[in-house]
Amino acid sequence: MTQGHALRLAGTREVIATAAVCGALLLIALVVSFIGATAMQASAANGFVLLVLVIGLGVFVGSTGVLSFGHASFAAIAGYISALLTIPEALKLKLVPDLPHWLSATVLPLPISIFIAVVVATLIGICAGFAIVRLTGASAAIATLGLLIIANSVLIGASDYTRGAQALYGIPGSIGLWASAFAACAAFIVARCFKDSSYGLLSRAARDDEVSARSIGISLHSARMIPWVLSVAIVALGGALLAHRLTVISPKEFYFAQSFEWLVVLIIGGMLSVSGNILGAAAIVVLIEMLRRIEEGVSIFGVTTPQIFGLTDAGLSLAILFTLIKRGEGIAGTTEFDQLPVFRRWPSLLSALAPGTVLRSAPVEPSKGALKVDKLSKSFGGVQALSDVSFEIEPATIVGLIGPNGSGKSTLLGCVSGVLKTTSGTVSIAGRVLTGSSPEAIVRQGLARTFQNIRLFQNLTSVENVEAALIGSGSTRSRASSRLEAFAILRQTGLENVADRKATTLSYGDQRRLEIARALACSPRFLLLDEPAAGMNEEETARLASFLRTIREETGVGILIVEHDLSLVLALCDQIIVLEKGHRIAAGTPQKVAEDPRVIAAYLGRSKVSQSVEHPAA
Amino acid sequence: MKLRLGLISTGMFLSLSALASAEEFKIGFAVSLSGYLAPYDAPTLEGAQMAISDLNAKGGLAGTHKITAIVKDVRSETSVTQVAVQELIDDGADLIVVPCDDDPAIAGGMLAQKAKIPVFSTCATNAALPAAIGDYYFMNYLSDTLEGAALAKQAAAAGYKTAYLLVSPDTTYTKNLPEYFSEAFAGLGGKTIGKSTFKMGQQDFSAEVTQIKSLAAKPDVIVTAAYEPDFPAFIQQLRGQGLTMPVYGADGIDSPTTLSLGEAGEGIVFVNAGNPDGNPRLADFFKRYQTEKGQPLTNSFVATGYDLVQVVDAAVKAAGGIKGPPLRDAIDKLADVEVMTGKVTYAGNQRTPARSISVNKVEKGKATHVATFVMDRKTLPAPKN
Repeated sequence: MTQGHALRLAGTREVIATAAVCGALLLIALVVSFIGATAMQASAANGFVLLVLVIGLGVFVGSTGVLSFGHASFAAIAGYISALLTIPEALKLKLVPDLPHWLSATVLPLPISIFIAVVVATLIGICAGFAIVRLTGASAAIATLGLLIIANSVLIGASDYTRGAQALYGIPGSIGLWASAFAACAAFIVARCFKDSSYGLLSRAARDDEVSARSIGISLHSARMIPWVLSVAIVALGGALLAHRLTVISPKEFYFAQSFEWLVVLIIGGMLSVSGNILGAAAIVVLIEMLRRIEEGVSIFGVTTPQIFGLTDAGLSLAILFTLIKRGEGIAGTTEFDQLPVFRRWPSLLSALAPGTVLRSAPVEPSKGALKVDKLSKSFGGVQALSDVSFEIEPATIVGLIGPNGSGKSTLLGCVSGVLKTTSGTVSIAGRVLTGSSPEAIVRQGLARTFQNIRLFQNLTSVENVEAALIGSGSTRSRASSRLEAFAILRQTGLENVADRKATTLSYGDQRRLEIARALACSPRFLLLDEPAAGMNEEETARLASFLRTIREETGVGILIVEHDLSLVLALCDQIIVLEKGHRIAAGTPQKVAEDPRVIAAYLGRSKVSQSVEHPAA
Repeated sequence: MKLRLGLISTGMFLSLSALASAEEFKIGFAVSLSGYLAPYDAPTLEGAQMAISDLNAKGGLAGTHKITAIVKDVRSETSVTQVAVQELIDDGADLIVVPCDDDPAIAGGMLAQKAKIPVFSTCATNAALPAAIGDYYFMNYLSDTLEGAALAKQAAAAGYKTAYLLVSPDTTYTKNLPEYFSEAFAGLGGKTIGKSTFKMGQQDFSAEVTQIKSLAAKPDVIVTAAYEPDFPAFIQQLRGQGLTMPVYGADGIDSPTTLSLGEAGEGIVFVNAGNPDGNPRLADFFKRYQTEKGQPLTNSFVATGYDLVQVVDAAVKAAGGIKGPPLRDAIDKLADVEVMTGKVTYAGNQRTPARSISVNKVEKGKATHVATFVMDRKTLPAPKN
């Protein structure tokens, strides 16, 4: 199989699976339209509109991990705009007499009014996004709650346009079963494509770990802003459709109850899966329809069950509880329909790169110029963590950084990689000063790092972890080429066999290696490794050492390694720098450092040093 | 001659409806038995079902048409109401009852309107709804306009000259009802001297109370349609500031909470659909409820639910048929129908019933009957769209 052929086929599975899902949705619509009474068709149409809303919300929640209560605001804005653009003029004059004349006089065809509604709501969403996406986790969720309350107050307050709290009615109810079904398909396709796009990948990486996302060049702002805007647009479409389904709206139709309902569907289906949105909505709609009939009393073999009203609410609550206990990640977890066995016969993005595909190795330009740390100081309040530390690392050398606990090693790494702000001093590569730049800018200058406590993107597969770094650091743009290169890097790092496994399921040693693979994917000229051998056994440590030597030789990368395993450091490093209480107390070859009396006194202890020097590299 | 012809045709209609005696009458309830509307819809349904079993024991509507109730819980949701009403239409309902709030009442009402099936809301008070939905939609409960006008009539009767309004734009009820009072009060020579706006659920009414306290000339009465939890908070903070002017409220505070406010609650005047204190028939009903259900009746929705079926009964008696247009026309022409809470007249009222309304006052923790008004339609303010 040639590379071009592989690339063309790549993703066939995903395309077929998505098409099959849309086909299934449309088939449901077809069946309901044939056999369903008017009421059942209405139920199904409402279900499809719910799906649009949930998929829209899921684009943001799934890409950022932030539960948003505020999306109902954009559904409301779009709903009101589309309503005002379609209600007959005479009725508008009666209901909202203070509406500006041009707006009363404007009555547009439904598709145009929905389009305008979505565009305007999205523009408003972009403005709100500048505030919302600065926040994460619980504070972001609270901010969206605030947004919902503000939007509700504005809708009630802007009574010249909205009739305030009063119902706005006479909205043409022209969104039927088919329009709803097609909208749901469109929303699914868009959300599914986004998830696997390079933007979607970066967003999911940033969702899993902000610090390491920045360390591979991902801008948190765009990683959250892009899914926000897309999700606002889809939810706005859902809101406009909802308005035309309900035919009568008031601000309370887009408030807490609705926000909670959509989130419940999302949680039941699986927040991290677009397919889960469909499963969640289907589960809820089917469950409600069943419970609704049971609570009204049903006849089974001539026996009529008693009416038990409230069963629907109780049943829904139990379903939520059951799902959360049995499947904390929701029905679908993180998987998509294309992972189903039935679709395995077609090549996926992943299988297009099966063994045998010709791969080129990751492009790493030979480095020119040294990494220079000049008089670096860092203080935390009154504590001087680093004082005037200077050193240089030449390309293709491995430098060890050692020192007792609390000597400032991790602080130094933090300052060099931009995670911490330096108090004074500079860091530069080939004369280009990096100090003061953000971590994501520094990685683009050729400095990548790993973390002492592993910070992988837990819900991403190994190959996606590496791809995120390739795309985030600007090495490649498209998923097709990033996947090829990621495979080359995984092969190089011996992780090829676990390429499609979620990072969180890897063995400890593999997780460590994947961190290095991810850092290498940033095409670094210098690599900072923070205790890469921590927790490894002797054999694994030896493999790591030879691996590091290989990549140094193959790519010419300069490596700064912080490590407690002295035998590894002494055996591997060309140079060693010793820190104590924030001061550099020694630097030089392993031999020279090991014999330095200050080092021996401060850190190593006589007997240990002689041991290590006598038996290097276990 | 004309008179005789009339008599003959009436006789013919009577025999026709007797012929159709086998035909049952389906009342479809698309009401909320869960969610925020359940406290209003559920007792209305309960009362309607009591009336249905009473009537069925006597042969059904007009003594001839057995009533079947189809009940669907719409969970206080507009979209569910639409689906449920559609199902009821498909099930062949002859009359449909929709929930107590504007959105589901309009959405469900529109569908019934399209199918030409008479439709009632359990207790939506917005007097603009009949015009909004169409000629098949009838109000059952007190309207905002009626409550406002009755409060104004009582205020004028008490000799009050000035009023102060406490409104909230958050619902049509809390926004418009005090304004209807103001209009009717002006018609009776009264004057509204000020208005405060609150946000529902705000709890802290110190700003509004201070506003009232700082008025140079204190109002004779404060009028509001606020209800729980806003109303108790407001009245306690008002009395706490030493302001003792009378406070008039709407039927939203017809609840046990209002009677348990202690000192702060004393003297509150409010309207409702009927007070057993001033209505022996209703008193019997309250006693019967206590006996049958084993718990005291603490709202008027059960009684107004009973009323609804009595109205239908009266219409079927008068109608030439039990379906669609004739039934609609019959309801529209009903006058002075004796129902559980008093008298109801639809004739000439654009499907907003002129019904007796009771004025009550909290005295020693009890709602004492002050007066019952049957309002003249001409004194009612025009509904706000």
